[in-house]
Amino acid sequence: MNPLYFLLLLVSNGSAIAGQVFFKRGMGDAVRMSGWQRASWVGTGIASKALSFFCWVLLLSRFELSYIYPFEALDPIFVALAAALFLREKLNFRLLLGISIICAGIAIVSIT
Amino acid sequence: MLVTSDREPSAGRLDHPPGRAWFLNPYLQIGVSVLLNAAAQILIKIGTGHASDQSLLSVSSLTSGAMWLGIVALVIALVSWLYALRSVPLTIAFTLAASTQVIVPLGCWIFLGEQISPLRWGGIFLVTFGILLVAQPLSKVEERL
Repeated sequence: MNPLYFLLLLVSNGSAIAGQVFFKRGMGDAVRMSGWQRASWVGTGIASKALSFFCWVLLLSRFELSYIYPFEALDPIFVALAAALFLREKLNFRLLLGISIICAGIAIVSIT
Repeated sequence: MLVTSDREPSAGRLDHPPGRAWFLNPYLQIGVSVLLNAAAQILIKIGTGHASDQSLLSVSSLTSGAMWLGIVALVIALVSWLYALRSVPLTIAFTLAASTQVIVPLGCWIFLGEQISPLRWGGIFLVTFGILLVAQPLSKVEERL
């Protein structure tokens, strides 16, 4: 895989994770805000997901799904960290243990 | 995980009014979102297979019906997902959504007759176990809401 495609993979995963944080920011009730503010957070989330989607389609047309899928295995950990950092969501040991087991499982499923 | 409808509403926002329709359960909507996402993955892969050019954005794949069906599935999945995020923490919702990683191979095994190697069964077991570990305390949280 040349560096351009690797960058594309990073953009695809990074913007998907950012999009989830934007969605939760717009839909959650942690902060009081107007309907327009909520809509703009969700809109930013959709734009992030759209960017991620186009990068993903581009990658899918070049590589086998089974080759690029393992790179998504760590997404649950990154989403948990992003949610803790930007949304003040609480993490506990049980949650982190569960997420780590899931990531290991996804990695195994996708490389076999 | 289905919610009983006879409990008291919480003091905060009425995300869970008593007597609401059963399909408005946010955890059920996560399930809907997961299933549609899994279907969309397969449809989009079929759609990109139709692409005849090698242009940067694979524009020709947009002429494929499977691609458009996949996009429609993604949009409906997004609506379900956003609804669920109103009340479910992102960490929990995203972790439960990891069940996609189990559903796609199982779907290929059941519907397409694809083989699953012992190691892959092990991975599927690990993902399922991790999800149960995260989901099990949720039934208690649901009671408190």
